[in-house]
Amino acid sequence: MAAAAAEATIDGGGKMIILISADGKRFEVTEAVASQSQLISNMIEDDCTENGVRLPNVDGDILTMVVDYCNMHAGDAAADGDTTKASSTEELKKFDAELVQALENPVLFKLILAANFLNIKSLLDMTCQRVADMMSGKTPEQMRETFSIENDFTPEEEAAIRQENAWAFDD
Amino acid sequence: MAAAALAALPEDVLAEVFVRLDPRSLAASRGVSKACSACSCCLPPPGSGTSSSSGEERVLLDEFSEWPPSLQTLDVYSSSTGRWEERTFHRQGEAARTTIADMRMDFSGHKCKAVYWQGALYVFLVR
Repeated sequence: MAAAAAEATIDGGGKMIILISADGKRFEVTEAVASQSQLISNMIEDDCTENGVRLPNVDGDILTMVVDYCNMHAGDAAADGDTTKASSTEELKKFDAELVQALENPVLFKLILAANFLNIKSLLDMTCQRVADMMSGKTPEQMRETFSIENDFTPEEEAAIRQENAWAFDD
Repeated sequence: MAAAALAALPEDVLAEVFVRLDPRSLAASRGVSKACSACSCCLPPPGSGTSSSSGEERVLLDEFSEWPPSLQTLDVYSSSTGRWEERTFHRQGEAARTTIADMRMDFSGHKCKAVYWQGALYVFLVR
């Protein structure tokens, strides 16, 4: 049974790795889960995960989310084309949607930075798409308001940009 | 921990957000702040194919064709008409002795390779 064999290696997971957040929280995950991060995958290949992987720019609360995400998606890549996994695709989509919808802006940006640092492409794609969705159809003023961005243009600069992009500024 | 704000995201990450915007929202984002403006206008034009079909002159490119080509037709988004339009670009200056294959080898990162600015297409080359 090919499917059962694949399942066993995923669950068995081989070696465990310890991830250590900026504030010293420790997370024990399988190599299969951790290697969704290209950064950690490279470290595993280079055999330098023995003493745990310190992630000095990822806070524990953010790393909790990243580990949850990676745990949920661990079967993904390994079980490509495996029909027994098809039923959980919907579940994954729901999990992903709920994860990004629920986030406050500062947390969302921290998650983006973590996904970028750890190089987890699917998580980076998903979180960047969320920000793009939040910007879509808004005026510059509404975008500033949504993301608490200060207008650092001089009145002259702003007028020039307005003129150049007038078609997008008018409602 | 760095301030968690949109404008504090590194430029390559900000670009990941902006490539997902429709043209109108992308243009609007340029009016948000300097950081947004600097990033949103350095995106490569979408739909840039490697073969052009401008009717009278048809140039087929392959892996060993020089890059940038002497003549290239691309779809560009015009902010004055609000529409996609076909534009033909003539290279200014000599060939850079770079081939399409050379460029492909360097497609590993997410860096912008071309800028469309005020009617001209600027292409970044690695030698």
